[in-house]
Amino acid sequence: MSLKSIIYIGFTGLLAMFGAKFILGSEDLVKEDGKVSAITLPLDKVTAEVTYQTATFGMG
Amino acid sequence: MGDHTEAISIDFDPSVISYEKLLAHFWNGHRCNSVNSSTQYMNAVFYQNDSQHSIAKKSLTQHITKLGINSADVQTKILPVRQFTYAERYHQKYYLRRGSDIRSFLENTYTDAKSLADSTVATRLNAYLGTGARRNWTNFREELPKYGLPDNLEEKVRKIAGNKR
Repeated sequence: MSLKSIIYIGFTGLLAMFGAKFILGSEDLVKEDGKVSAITLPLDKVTAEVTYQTATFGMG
Repeated sequence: MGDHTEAISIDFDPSVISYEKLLAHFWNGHRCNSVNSSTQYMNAVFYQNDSQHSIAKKSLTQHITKLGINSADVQTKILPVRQFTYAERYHQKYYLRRGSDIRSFLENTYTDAKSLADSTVATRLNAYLGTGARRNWTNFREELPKYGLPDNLEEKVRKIAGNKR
């Protein structure tokens, strides 16, 4: 593979990555803080008051 | 993804469902002796505290005893939870992608991934309208007015639920 092809593939890859980020929009990832942040809708307001526990599973 | 593992985090009311029952669903939902070397997609219980650790180990022992699986063959990990990071908003409540107006309403109400993921209303709608299998539709119809959906969306959802048993 020629150097020109490698540069072309690399450049195209970078362009695709930036394009995907532009289309999908950049979003800061949020970390769990132990609080329920959905409290706008009536049912959510009620369930936000529940003392809950958390179970976490990796699902393969 | 680095050393991240894709995982689900379930906030549950222990007076309604126990951790043991959730674990039973987890064990029954996969083969704990199937080999998977991927960190990103591994099967694992991530325990929050000593109590969950102990319950998870006991639950695994009961499960493999019942199925006759040798403990040395178990591939599913039981690990302490580390920082849980929410996936982007477009990954949350996947089944609601089919109902664009309902999803738009929820996304306008909850504009970040965490609040959309935390929303009981979004979770219920995702479960009922997504797969709909083995759901209690009577409860759903009764509960629907408490969701706070705009009238047109509530009517739409009610029509979908109308024919379900």
